[in-house]
Amino acid sequence: MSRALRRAARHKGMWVGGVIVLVWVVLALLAVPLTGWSPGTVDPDLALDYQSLPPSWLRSVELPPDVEPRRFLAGTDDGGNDVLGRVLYGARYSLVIGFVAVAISVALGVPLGLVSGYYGGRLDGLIMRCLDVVMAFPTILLAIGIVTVLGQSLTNLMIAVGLVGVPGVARQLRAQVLVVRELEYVQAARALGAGHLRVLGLHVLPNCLAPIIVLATLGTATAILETAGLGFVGLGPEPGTPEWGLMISESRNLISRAPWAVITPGAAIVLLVLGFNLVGDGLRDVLDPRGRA
Amino acid sequence: MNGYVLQRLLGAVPVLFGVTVLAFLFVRMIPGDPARNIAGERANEEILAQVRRVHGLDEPLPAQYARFLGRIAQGDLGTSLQTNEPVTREIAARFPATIELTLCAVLLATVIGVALGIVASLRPGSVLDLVTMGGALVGVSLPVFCLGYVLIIAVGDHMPYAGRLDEGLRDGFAPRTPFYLVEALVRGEWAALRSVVAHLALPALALSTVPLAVVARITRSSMLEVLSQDYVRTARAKGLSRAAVVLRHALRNATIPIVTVLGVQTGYLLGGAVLTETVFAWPGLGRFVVTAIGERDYPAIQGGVLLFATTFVLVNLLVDVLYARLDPRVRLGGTS
Repeated sequence: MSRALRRAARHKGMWVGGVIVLVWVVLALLAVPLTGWSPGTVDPDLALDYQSLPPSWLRSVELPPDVEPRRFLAGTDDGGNDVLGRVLYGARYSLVIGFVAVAISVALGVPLGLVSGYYGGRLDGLIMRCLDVVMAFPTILLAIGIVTVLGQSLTNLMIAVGLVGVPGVARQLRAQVLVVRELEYVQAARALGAGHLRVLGLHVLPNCLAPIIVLATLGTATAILETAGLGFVGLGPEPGTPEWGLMISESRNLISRAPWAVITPGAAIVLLVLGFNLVGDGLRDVLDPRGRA
Repeated sequence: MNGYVLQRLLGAVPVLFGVTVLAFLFVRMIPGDPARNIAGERANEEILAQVRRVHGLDEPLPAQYARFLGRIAQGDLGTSLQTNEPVTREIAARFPATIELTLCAVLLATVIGVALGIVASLRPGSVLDLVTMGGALVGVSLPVFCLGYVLIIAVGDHMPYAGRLDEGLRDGFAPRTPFYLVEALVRGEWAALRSVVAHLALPALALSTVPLAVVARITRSSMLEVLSQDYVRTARAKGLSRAAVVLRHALRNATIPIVTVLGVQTGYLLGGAVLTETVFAWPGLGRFVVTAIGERDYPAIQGGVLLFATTFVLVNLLVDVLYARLDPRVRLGGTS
């Protein structure tokens, strides 16, 4: 363990990723006091005056005389909203949806992978073939299908993104269980008369924790990307919600007039996903030095 | 070898079967009356009864499924609610566009990804390695639609970013097949070819980033492993040039994981095509399915999804066979 800690201390990429994620969490929490924007703060009468203003540091356009020179670091969108305010506020959606979705993937994928890898035989074959079928569908289409069947809502969005991640978790965990169940101490526990449930819960599962943690971290990155994709095709939260994918979709027709309204949420997605990917890659290096890829 | 191929083919049958079950259940699981889903919101009772009869919705589920399979076998995927054309015809007009786009993206990802991976593996820890791998990490973190818009903002004034061909060329070229790239090449229509390639460039580039980054990463790690092996040192000791050792001895063994990754990535590419085609107004199957979702055109969604999944299964079958050709241990039932 101490060796793993020493490796962790030296892993720069992981620390950079960790800081990025932490900063995003803080920004999401402080979005309103930092930018003064929250849903519904734009006065509909003033919205037109503030429509599609460029970022304040660009200032290439003269403001109308009666508009107070507020600072919009990332400009404003079509509805006169502060783009930066919406993006920071929108981090709440990405973070919460990402975490909940991964929790769903892990909660369903881990038992499936454990049972499949431990018992093997026909049950294993059946579970794996079913997962093959699910994995044959492109993830974004599968998520689209699930949202269509369940109905469009924030909860169902999380369920869809979570369900789509289940086969990946189950398969990787199964591979790990196949290795662990052959280890001598597991055989010894069986020989001592421990039941299957006890062996699974006390001996196999704890030795699969490292890959589960890595999978969950990298899975959060994927979940955030998929959420943005669903928001982009219009199956995410309802129109007007400051969800990043939806923001890009709603501003895409103004791309030549207000490119900042598309680029800022795009950059936000890349930064947050990159943070989780850095942490996930780092954790894999630290927890399982043999499994580098 | 033939035995292995046959075994893999048989293994794909239950998966394909499962795919049809899921696609079949999809339309039935949508809340509400399936007849109304098919006939549309404004259909009256008389039309609903007729739809139920025509589609056999009054029969039990297994009978309905058998009928559904029978129709697929005859190449009948129903009628699109948006256009009133057979779904198969709609798909046939659009899938080739998706295939051309996806294959170009795979080509870009493989060529650039393998080259970057090799370069990075030759000097691990160098600045070049860090920059390449850092870039690859950003690449896997990029949503394909974001990159699409960034490309449009950056070079949209100089490059076409919607459709497949200049409108002005449409009459002169008059494509007879939906495979514009191949057709322009075969017929020697150079102006058309230039236009087709220009239209393909941005969407293919956007679609290729994630697989490119994944291929670069896997190539690097795979090359690093191979380069440290004894036979590589022997080859160098014999006096062979570094380039010969890297390209002829090492890369050959390093390709095996790369091929596997490419197979897995096709699933991503087909899904990514859904978003890329929306950004670049690419008249392919992905955009068709997204539009169909907006219009609640269930037969079209079902047909499109079925085709996407079948393609994925078949491509992975192909990759497995290729894998066995490259690595005899696989087809001989070894441990690898």
